[in-house]
Amino acid sequence: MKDLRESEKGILVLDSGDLLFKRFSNPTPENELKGISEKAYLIIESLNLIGYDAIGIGEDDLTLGKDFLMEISKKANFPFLSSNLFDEASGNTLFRSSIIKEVNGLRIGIFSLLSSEFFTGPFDPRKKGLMIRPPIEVAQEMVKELKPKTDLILLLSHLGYVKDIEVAQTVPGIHIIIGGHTGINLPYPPVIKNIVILQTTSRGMFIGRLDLLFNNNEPIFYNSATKISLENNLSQINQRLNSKETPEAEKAQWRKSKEETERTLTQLRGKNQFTNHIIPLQDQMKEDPNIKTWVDAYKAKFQKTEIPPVPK
Amino acid sequence: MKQKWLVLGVLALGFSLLINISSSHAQKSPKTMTLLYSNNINGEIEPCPT
Repeated sequence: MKDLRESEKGILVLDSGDLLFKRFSNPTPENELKGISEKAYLIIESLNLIGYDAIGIGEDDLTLGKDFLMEISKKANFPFLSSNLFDEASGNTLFRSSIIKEVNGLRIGIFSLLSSEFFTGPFDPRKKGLMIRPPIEVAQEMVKELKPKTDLILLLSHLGYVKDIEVAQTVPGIHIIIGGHTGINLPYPPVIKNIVILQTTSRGMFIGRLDLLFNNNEPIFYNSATKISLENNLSQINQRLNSKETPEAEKAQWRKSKEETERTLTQLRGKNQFTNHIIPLQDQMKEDPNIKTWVDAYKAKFQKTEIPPVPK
Repeated sequence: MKQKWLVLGVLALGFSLLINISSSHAQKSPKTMTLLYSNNINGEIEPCPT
């Protein structure tokens, strides 16, 4: 990621939450508190080095409470975002509700939402001192605010995949949802009402890469894989049509299919497109020497006290 | 005086042509953007087998 960040222009690096801690267990064992706190700082330092642009908040990021999260956010070179997470006492948002980043001349509005449904109830310690506003309502407000100032609106969602679909169906104006919580790979991202929905699996096994190509100013995208598939179909149809073995009656059907495929390809011409890749982060991947040093030092100090994480 | 205006006129014309050429060239190359995204890292600091 760091290499790519340095070698290419026009990159945004984002995370949609549940970054800092493993799955919440209530109460967090006393002997783990220092270790998980230091690990959270290590992760923020690593993200600073990688050059993250913004992160959203997941419910597990509140494992050590809102004060800890606010404190650690000061160490980050990037903003923590949450549009519907409020401090109960002051009524203010805990973090910035949105940012606008300029990338290759495009103004990208980014906001973030967290679901209240992932907390275990009103006495969940992660929720202490917090108020979470309904996400759909807040999403509508954020779009209204960002739309006049931006070319593209991006949601860092910690609502879960099903709710992401609901947001796409009910909140026009968002263009891309980077989802979280569910932890599923979406190599062929669904596009609902022109909103592209993304997500990868949990525990840092994969990272997603979405490349956008703008041929016009309308922020509507189709998957470049669709075009490749259509072109392959067309090539197969042509083979059938050119083959002496294909009966004439069948050729008439293939001609119709050819016309239809060519028509669709013509319709796609000049439209904006995206290409999505889910990249595995395996052992073989080159490690950053600084991060490796920090991780080794952390492991030497703390790993004996840690309990293996429970799969989600 | 007339010569001075002529030179200025030619320079202005050349400059505007240059701007037109460069802007039409810029319109031809489509804009691109890359998003790298992660979610649910869950405090992992070591590579997790995929």
